[in-house]
Amino acid sequence: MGWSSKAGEKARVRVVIVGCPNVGKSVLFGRLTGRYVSVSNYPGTTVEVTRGIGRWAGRTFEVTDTPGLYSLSCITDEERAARALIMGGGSDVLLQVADAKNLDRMLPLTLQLSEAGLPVVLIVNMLDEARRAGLAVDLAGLGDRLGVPVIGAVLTRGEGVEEIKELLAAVGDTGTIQPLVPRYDRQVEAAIRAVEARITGNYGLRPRAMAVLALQEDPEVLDILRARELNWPLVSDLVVRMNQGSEPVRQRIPLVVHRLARRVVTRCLRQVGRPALTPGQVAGDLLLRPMFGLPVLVAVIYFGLYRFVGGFGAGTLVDVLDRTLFLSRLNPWLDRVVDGLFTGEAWRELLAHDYGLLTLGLRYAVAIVLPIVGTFFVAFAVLEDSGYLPRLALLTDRLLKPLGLSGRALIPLTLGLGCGTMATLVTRTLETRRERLLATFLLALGVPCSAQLGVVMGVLSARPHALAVWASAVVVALLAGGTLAAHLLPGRAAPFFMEVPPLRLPSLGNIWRKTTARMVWYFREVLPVFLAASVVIWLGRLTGVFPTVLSGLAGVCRWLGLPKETSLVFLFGFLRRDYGAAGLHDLAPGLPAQAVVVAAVTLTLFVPCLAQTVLMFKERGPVTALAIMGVVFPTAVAVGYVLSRVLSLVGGAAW
Amino acid sequence: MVEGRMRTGTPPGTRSLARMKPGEKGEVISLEAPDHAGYRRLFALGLVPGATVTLLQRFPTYVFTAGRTTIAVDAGMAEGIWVAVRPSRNRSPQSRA
Repeated sequence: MGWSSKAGEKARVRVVIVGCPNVGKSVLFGRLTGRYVSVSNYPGTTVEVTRGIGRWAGRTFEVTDTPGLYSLSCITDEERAARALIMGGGSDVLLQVADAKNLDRMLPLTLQLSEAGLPVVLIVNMLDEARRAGLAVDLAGLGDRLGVPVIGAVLTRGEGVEEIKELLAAVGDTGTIQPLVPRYDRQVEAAIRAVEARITGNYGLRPRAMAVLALQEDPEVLDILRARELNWPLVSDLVVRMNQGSEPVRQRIPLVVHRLARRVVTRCLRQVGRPALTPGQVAGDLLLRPMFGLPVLVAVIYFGLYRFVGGFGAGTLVDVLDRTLFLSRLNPWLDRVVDGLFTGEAWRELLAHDYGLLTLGLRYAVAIVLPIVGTFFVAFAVLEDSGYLPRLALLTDRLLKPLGLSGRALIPLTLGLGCGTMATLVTRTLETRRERLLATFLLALGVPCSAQLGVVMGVLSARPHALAVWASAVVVALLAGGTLAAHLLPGRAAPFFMEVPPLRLPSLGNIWRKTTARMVWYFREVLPVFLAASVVIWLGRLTGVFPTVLSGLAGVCRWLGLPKETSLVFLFGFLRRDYGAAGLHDLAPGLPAQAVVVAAVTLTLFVPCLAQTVLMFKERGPVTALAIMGVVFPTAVAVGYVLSRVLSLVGGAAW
Repeated sequence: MVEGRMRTGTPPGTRSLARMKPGEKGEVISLEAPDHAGYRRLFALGLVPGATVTLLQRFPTYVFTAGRTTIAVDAGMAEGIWVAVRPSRNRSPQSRA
């Protein structure tokens, strides 16, 4: 197909960046557009595709960054999103970013894109790392053999960017090139031709590429053909027939593509020197071993997440913003302004005062969650860009397996100790739907957030064994609940396999860009959640639902051996965490230690707060969210009840 | 469904990655994955028949290199990666686990 672009001189050039994860796609996007438009490379969330505008050489370029794509035969949601974007057409040029050291793994995608008739440019990135590994890349030879333009780059330092821009500016002027495409054995080629001949529709890829994907039993491609092609039964028969026996075509095709890629690479990539052992490599290897890796892991979690996000973000920054800015200045002023503007009590309550949209909803999003989220995004970007995340995952995978989770789940779970709402959002970084569900469940059940921890510590720290009882009850409930859920939930734990990238020094610029982009994204996602929570509270008060709920909760409290005032703590703890905290604080001195422990355990296991609940509905859907709450609520009460019985049997003597 | 099968005429010294020692090296003979998706992903990571692998460690997960790529897999996946292990008399394996 070559470069026959429909874009005239004045028209926008549509550029799509593709490639494996960890090759520098987001860096190239940043270099071409100058600024981030929305989130990039957020695992699980890049499904929201990033677009930006770049202008140079008198032309306008619409650049799209896509999620990581290993191969046109997709496995994950991200890959499917990326492929859908490619198949959707509408791109004048595809920039495939590749890691120079691992060209043999990158070229199969290049070959597939060429096979699909797409105009691809290969960016051989990380030439500096390749040089350190003693490798020399023959870029011109690579371009000749592949029949596509090839540009060498060190994108983090901006090397190669000018050349890429020049090439993009000349899109449409280049002559026709004949790209290298895979040729299969006679039997497979015959099957491809047979399928190809029966494809009549236009699906954004050449019929030959559609046929190749169909023969590899690609579920989505088969669905498309089933729905749109009259000759589907013939295609289906052939696909089934070709995939029988000991060497199914779905294994033969990728093997041919990889062999061709490797043949190109052996000619164009040479080992010219001894690989230099960099400090990053040494450190990266050490971190894989439990003896070094585990202490570092504990330190990373403690300083990076607990102290930086939990202490500095959730403590210092929240104090400054919430107390100094909102509670003592902004809120009183907003109350006065709203009271001056509206006469009706309902309007005043909706906008301001204790539960208003501005004084509660906006304040929560800006003063309480934003600092936590902001510091987390900084910490997470550092972990992500340094290549530490996969190391963390492989060290903790075994520990989390019994809970049906992979090592990656350690991040949202640890984060839950800061803010459960935020952690629920971060479960998006988990790979399977099952794992996201299990992590959301554990966060809802028993991971205490900083607010809950604050209350519990404040109330129980004077009574060390009460604190010990609380901690063991919560841990046992979490482990038991998690193990049970993992067993009961259909499906099985996804097999764990992961690429371990080299340890790299993260660039400050990229961390800044990622963090700011994610903050913008956070505001769009979470602010509405907090505003919705305010409205729910307002409605609850307006319609008089709350007294009913309170009397119901009072019954539960009696059953747990708690005074009926504790029901207020439960309700307000759910609606407004500072109220719940203060409530328990006020009640605690008048209560026996046993009641305080029971209240603390039940409160911890209880659905954490309204914002987290709303987010659960948003992320997991109403059915799942209701199911989780349907499990969590009775569990909290049941554990509280059992605990109060046990403590009564053991007797008050122990206290 | 298990994807991939052992081929006939397997060279002597073929073991699954799960039964290799740290430091041992060999060529991938065949792959079995729990499903086709896992098989394709291993493939995409460069773990194709003929690739040279070196086991780095066994605990807490199996870590090995395939070409210039480092890959971590759990025991279940490691059992399906069949490797013709090279005899390592001249080089003492650097024990890691």
